[in-house]
Amino acid sequence: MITWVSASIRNDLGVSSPKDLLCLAIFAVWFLLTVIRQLKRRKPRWLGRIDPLRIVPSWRLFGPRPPSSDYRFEVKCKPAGGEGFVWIDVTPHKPRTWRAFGWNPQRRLRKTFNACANSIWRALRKKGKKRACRTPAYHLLAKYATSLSDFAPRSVRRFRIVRRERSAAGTADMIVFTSRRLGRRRRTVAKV
Amino acid sequence: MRLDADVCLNSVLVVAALGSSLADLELLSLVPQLKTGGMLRPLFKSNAGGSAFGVGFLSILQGCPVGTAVIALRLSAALACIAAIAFHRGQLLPLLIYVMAAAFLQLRKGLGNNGSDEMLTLTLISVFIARLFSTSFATNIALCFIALQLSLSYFTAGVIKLGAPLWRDGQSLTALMSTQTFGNERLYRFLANNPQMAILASAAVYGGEILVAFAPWVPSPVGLMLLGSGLVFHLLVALTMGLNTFLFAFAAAYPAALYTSNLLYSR
Repeated sequence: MITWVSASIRNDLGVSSPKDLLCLAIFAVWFLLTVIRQLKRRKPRWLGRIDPLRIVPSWRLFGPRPPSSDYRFEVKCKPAGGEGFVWIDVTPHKPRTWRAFGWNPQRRLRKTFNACANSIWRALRKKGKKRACRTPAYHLLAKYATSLSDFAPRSVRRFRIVRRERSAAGTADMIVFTSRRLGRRRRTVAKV
Repeated sequence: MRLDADVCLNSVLVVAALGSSLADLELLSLVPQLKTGGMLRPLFKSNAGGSAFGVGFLSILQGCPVGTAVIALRLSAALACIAAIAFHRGQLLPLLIYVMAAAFLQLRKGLGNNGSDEMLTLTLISVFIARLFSTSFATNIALCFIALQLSLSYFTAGVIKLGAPLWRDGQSLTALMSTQTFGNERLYRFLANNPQMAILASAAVYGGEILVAFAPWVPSPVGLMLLGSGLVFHLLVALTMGLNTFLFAFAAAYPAALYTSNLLYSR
């Protein structure tokens, strides 16, 4: 059996040296792992452990449920010269223009922000607010909110994520998450 | 006529390097966001659940503040690859630098990467392996591997959409077009007002993806037609959804698909 397999590899595939065989093995294993990766939506833990470079991709591209809403990022702060606290829209990315066809750096900010918003929303639904406030996504957004140069230091109190969905009936905004008071008690922004 | 494997691999490398350069230039234009307090700072705890190399080691790399320098290094390496092909020089060194910089950035995380970045990294690492082994077999197998990945990517994306009821009845495409992130106002209005067209457009998307998946495995003239329609599809996606790097990332694999088709049917 082994002789037949080795003869078949040598003759049919044209493998002529151990170097070729090693090359074939690398690509074969890589492809096999990629096929396995497609079987489930979430990456299996064991695959995550052996793929720290994330070179085993998921090819689900906008399937089965593509994004159907936008998120907005707002902070509660006291504007310069203002009296009370107000919610201000500080969404990190700008609206897309026609130039995005060739030059679209903003998509990375959109992608990161949407991923953070989704991650917090998922944690909130499944594990509650306490756990949602411990996610790396929460820390990243908290750090982003408190580092905004438009406002005086420590003037940003909270942040919130607002989801905007459009349908035939019109546009609907929904607050999906409001953070704890920032910069108090536990330093939520320490490790980002 | 038999296609030359080296020419095909060089074509793959040039297109992928161009795409990677564009992606890196876009990242470099967002430098303030890479710094502390920026949106592109790396996220700590790995969603992959740790690593075989130790979480402590990875945390040091992920928290390293030299992301900008490494992006610039990756950009230089990608441009050096193109120059190496143009001036008939060795590509191994720039490819090695590229792969190392890409590996660092993959470990670092948090750069808003998407499917196109994954395809570009995968393609360039495959070319690096082919050049490292430097045999005709390695070149052939790298091209076939890239073609296989291209097929798998289109096939998976198409079949998963086909299996989703919301994609089949056009609702997903309409909802996607309604977003500011990926959508297009005019197209959204058109699809929302013409549900039949939404169903047709959705079918064109997943049907097209499944068909293009067969491009490397059919005779070259048919493969060429399928790849041509794939290119048009990516141009439309760039135009309507702003996913500009997908065009380069997937087009880079097309010479490999053509080569595989040629290899299978030119005997």
